[in-house]
Amino acid sequence: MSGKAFLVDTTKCSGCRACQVSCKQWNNLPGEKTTFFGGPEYTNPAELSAITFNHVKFFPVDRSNPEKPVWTIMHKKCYHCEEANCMRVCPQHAISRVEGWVVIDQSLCIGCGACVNECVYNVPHILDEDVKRYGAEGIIKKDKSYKCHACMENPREVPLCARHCPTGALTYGERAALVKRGLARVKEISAEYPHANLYGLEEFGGLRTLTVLKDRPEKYGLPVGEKAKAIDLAKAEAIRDTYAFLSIFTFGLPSLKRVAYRISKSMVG
Amino acid sequence: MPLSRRDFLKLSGMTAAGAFVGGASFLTGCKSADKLRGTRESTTICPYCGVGCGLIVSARDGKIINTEGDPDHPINRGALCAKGSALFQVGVNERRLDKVQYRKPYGTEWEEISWDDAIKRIARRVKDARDATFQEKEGAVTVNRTPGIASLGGAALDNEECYILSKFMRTLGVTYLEHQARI
Amino acid sequence: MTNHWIDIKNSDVIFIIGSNAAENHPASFRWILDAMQNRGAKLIVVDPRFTKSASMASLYAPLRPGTDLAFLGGIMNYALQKDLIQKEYVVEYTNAAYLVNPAFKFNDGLFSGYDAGKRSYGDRATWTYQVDDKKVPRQDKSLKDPQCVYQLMKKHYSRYTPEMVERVTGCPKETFLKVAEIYTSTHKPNRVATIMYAMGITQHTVGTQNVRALAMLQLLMGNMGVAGGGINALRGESNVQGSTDHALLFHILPGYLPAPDVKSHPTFEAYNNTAPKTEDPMSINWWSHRPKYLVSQLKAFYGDAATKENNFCYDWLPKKSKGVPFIVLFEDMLKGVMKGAFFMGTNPIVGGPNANRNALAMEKLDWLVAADLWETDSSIFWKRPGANPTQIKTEVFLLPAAASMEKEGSVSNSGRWAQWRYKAVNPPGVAKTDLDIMDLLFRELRELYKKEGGKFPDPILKANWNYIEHGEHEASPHLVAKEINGYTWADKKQVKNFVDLKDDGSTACGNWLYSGSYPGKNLMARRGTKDASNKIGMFPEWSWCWPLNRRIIYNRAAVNRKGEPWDDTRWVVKWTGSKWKGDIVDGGPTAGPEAKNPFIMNNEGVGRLFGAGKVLTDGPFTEHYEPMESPTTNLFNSQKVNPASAILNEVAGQFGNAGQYPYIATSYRVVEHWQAGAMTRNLPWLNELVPDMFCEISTSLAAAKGIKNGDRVRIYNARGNIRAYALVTERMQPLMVNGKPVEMIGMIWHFGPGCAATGDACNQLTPSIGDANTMIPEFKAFLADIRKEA
Repeated sequence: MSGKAFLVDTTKCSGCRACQVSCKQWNNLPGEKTTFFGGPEYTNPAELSAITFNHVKFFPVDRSNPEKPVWTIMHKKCYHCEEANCMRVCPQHAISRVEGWVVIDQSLCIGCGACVNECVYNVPHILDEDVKRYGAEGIIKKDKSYKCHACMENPREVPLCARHCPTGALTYGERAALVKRGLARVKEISAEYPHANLYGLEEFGGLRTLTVLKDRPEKYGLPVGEKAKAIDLAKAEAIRDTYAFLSIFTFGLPSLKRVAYRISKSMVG
Repeated sequence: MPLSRRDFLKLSGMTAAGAFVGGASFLTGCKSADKLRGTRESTTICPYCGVGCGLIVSARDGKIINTEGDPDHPINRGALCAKGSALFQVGVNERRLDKVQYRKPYGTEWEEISWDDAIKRIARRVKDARDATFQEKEGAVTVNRTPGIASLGGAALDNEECYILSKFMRTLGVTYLEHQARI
Repeated sequence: MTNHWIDIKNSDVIFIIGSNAAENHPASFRWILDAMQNRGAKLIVVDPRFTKSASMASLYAPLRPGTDLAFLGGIMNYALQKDLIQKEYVVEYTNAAYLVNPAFKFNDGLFSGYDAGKRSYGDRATWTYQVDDKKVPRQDKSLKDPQCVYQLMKKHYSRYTPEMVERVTGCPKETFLKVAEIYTSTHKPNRVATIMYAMGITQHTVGTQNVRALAMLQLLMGNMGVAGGGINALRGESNVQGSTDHALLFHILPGYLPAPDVKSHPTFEAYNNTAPKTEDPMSINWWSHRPKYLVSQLKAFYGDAATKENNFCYDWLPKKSKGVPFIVLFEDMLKGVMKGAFFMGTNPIVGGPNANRNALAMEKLDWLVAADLWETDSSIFWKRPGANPTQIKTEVFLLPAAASMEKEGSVSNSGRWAQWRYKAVNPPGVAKTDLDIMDLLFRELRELYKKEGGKFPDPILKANWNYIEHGEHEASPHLVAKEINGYTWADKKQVKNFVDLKDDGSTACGNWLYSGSYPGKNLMARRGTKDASNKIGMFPEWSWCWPLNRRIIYNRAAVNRKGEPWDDTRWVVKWTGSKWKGDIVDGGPTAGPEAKNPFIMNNEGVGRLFGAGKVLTDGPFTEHYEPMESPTTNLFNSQKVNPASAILNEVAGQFGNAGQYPYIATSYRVVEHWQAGAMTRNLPWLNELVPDMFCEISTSLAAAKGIKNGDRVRIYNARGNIRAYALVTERMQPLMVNGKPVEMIGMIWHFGPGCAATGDACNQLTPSIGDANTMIPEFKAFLADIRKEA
């Protein structure tokens, strides 16, 4: 895999959430309405959403060694899989690869939820109401799928999420160089964290958001092995075909489209 | 202060317009993919904590289009925290005051008044309070002070404003002078 | 900060106590991680909670809020008993060798001279040195004399054993010892620690002594004046450094000149006579220049009216007859002393202690002028929940102000860098800069006095006040900055720096500390990215820093008496035999290292391990006292709270005890919000992250009270009761204090009744008591109870 990538280093993240806010600023995304923390510790909102493309997850503190409690804080955005489920199952071919990044063209998106259903990382989301973009003209449209586009739609040398990171926990660069750096970091911390690893080398044919983890990926809800393999191409095509048939009965209603997609998937299943 | 455009701000190697053959994309409504096209850049310092991170503000037609960390700044080197990253919303925010608000005694609502009116009325209140409470002497010592007026705040003002506030209040004879450093 | 942000990268040990820098100063972690990665530096974090900073630490040590002096005294004892101090530095550059007045005594938590009736040390005559016939302090450089500071100190701190540290602070002995070991490893000349602290250190009844303990430790280790060292107060507001430098406080004039006081400074002559004096030829005693700074300031204030004959209008400055720190100011407001008040970008109804009381005080005002970007919780105090506007007389003017990027001017960061900001856009609607607002108001007032006369109109009529450039109609920050820098009165030429200032009225200078910032060109606007020859990250051509663009203060202590750096790999200054290289040296460029002492602002010229004279109100050494509200007795002495902390009669009935309110409460901030919240609770992106008031409690307290994560709870004490969401977390742990587990309630204090995101204000619960020296309120340790909200 050539081209650019992000490297997330959970050993350096202090949880300042500059990434989460910077993304909203650059992309004019509105803030979410929340009442209390949506996830563990300060996590808010609970997950990525159609208007939150960068997310910081605070895991509960691990006190198994009372001398050295471990608090893991992890940046999350689209992993931009090399073999991306969302791309494979999108009936409209609205999801494509631009400079290696997986991006959605909302003008083609029909809000069927195929990508939402197939992404094991829970990355793309369908917007359920029109939202006015903050401080700029226009709106983000209801019933379209949204997620991180690696700022391919307004490209700069380094996307703002990575450039604003004060600790170097989120960096951007050539993937090959970041893999090298990530592996070196894993080696550096392996005395302190024996299960440390660089996540994203193999999963879904290789990810463009690589993550230095202190412990096994499962601990952070990240799939490995069989669970991190892309949907079979033939199966994806069968789902698409079934959906193409069923969608006739959805009367263009996004909620029914999503139901139809789920039925298609279980029929092929 | 116009700055020369920095490398980091340049469009990356690919052409933005070529990214989407389908045309309408996420940025529908923003005619060009180059968000910062035609903006004027100026530097500023973050108004939040005492680190003093540098930012670049890009404005077009008198409106702030973007705020971001200043990569030339030796302290933050382009980085910011969540607050600094949100500076844009201090500038572009429907809750900002754009008129002088006045609440009369026992009033239940704000009323709008003009600057001229406000300054005239405040000057009158200040003069009356000063004249009514001014103390020239305490025993044999000249004290020239105005206990009838207090001034609080200023940690978010510029140095020049702090100095002028300090000078202004002392000129009035104010000794009830405090700000955030004590709390 | 004696040093500055980038300089943290030069440290071997980063000691964070009373600060959560990862949360409140996130950019600092770039430099902390730089030191950890590139130098193998160790990060120690001491905090009651396992914070974001703690999560990044090499070593985390818990401690009970309000017990810093027990912890720090313990480290001093460890260092002194094991002789882990930088001897040469301590002997030469501190008062360790000075002999103390034999009448000085310490007994059961009280130093000699205490007046119990007045709750103060009325007589500090014994807190002095023995002097020779030339009035120079006597010394024993062998440090053996039992009356020398070093020996007295060793004895004083011998009670601060690791066992006592554990019993009082709750920090396990082994953890404490690890902290002491790592920190004291920097007593070697080639190892340096920096100390980063914030309000967790200062907001206590012993706040000043907490800071002193940190400074004393750094002196013992030889860490002051050197790269990677220093004592670094992390400032929480973008210009709280500058606003303090320009004296928006009752007790000082711009540049830390004392504010005239009826008793101490009844006349101009008396004022100047209080300028520190010394007979010691080794002492530079910079404050001896004070009369020049005062006269130049008076000239800047009163211009032509200030003449030698009228003592430069000294008597035009108001004289106070008592201290009016924030708490006292609001008590006086409650009594109706003031008719009106200005709130220039401040929100005391959220930020002040005992906030319910502050709101009642504001109702006593006839008028209030608030300038801000938005409605703040304070400017709408008349319609706060529970208030009846039709019963509140206060007339309120809320003036729309410009934001930081809508005006031009400078702000001073923690590292004393004054950095210039530019105007990007106009402020919204009719909003104006605070400078313009004050200028308009002053000129209107001058017109009124001109027309009508009034009480002592001279200062208003004759003040030196011309801030509008020819052809403009708004006040210019450049004209103000030039006045702050100073100029010659006769021909209006900018002075180069404060060395040019005179006490004869020939120079005007608003603030001597900033003299040199605008000597012709605006040096605060500089953007040079070249480092200095010593390559320690000083960036001397970036902006300008006070004093004289000196990036590390007390830098004469960075070399030995021969002028050789303690560590040549990160030298700050060097003496070549005839001149200094590197940073702008303290105390003038001609005096060599052997001729003058490094701590030029003390009249001894050396660092004070023993706080001699009348500088401190509560003792020349530090001593542990309990917070005003504490769950335990004081194990070190029979004094409960700092015996010199003022307890106001008006609020004496508002303190609670552990029988009524069993849990320690403390307050702090989060990265997503800022101070009293007006600048962040109006921003949707930040409200998404932290939308409402919340508290943090341990799983054990939660279980005991039947509280689950996300429940609404009520927190209450003698001063108020507030609602909050409960965050139940493993980061909060009960501490064993004197054999008993103590639970804690942690609260953010950003919320209030106004702005887009509302929530109850933590400060409704905080007490009206403060530090014995500064009266900064004891926000960080008080008592409360908690229950699940039905």
